[in-house]
Amino acid sequence: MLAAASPKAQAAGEETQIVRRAQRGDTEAYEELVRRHQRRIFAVASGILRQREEAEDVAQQVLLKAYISLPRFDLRSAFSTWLYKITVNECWDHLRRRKSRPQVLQSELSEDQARKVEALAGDGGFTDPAERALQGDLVEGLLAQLTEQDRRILVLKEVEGLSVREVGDILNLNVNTVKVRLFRARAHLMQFRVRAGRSKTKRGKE
Amino acid sequence: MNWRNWKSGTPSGACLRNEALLEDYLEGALTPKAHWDLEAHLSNCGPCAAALENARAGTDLVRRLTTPVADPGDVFTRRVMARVRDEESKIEEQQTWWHPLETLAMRLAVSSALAVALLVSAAAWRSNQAQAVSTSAQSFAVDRLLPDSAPELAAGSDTLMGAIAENHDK
Repeated sequence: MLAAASPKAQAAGEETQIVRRAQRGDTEAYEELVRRHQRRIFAVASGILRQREEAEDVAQQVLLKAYISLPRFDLRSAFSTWLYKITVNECWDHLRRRKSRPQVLQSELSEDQARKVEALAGDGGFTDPAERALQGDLVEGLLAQLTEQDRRILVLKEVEGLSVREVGDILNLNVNTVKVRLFRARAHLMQFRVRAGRSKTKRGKE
Repeated sequence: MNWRNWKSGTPSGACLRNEALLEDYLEGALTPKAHWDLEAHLSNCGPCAAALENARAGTDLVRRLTTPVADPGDVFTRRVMARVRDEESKIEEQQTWWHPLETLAMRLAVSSALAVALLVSAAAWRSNQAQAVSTSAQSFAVDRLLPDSAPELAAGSDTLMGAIAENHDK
């Protein structure tokens, strides 16, 4: 007796059928794929680019490029992995085009921002809606401490919840390299947090 | 896996070369034996224990700081699909523009190939003709140059062959 396919395998099989229909030029099938994946593409682009408008433009561009390249997609990897790969490459190209990417260095973060990061890290986050609105800026400041590649790894792994293997597939990196870089990226973030804490103490003394 | 460093329990920075193992530990991806060995090591190695704590806190910080991104919604989907349809019509337009050109190019290619084949055949035919004319001209010249000696030469040749045969019989 054949074992019933797991729900995950069934979903993957269903998605493969939709991808095949889209490859034959069925735009309704492609629209279904867009609906399924747009949130995660947008989240990855937002995490890397850190600007909502740019992330939206890039996400649209990604989905258009994916449509054009769809006939060449050989279904050897998951459709989502393929899409993430396009997303990460497109973000990378976008950053290169942007050239003078505004770097928020540690010394450029305001005392106030540093204090808020410290508060957030220390007592479980903001409760005040106005302060919560500033969270985007703080995330931007924090993630800007990392190199492009470390930020991509961190966003895919911690924000999008992908496995180390998936991150490696998307970024064309060895699994061990992903693990090491991930580990170091987190360590860098914590160093920043410690420095933010120090600046808070210094400010308190003044 | 290089367990020597782990098992020695030396609190040295060299242990940190095994960051990948610490990552597996955080992810719960180690085998029970590897997990137990690493915990034993962590209880003796300050740098590794601190690095692990840092990583754990870093993950927590990122997750706390990052607000889950909401689905960009139907408006976004419609924008994407509008661009997709635009692209489709551009491709179709290109195809309709290129199709007659492609047909014309194909016809030109076939015509050129036929013309080349005809030229080659004509050249070969002409070369054969020229050769045939040259051969007949040569025969004609020989006939003209040696018109009377030919029968004598033929008779001489017969006499010579007869003499050889006789010699052979003797």
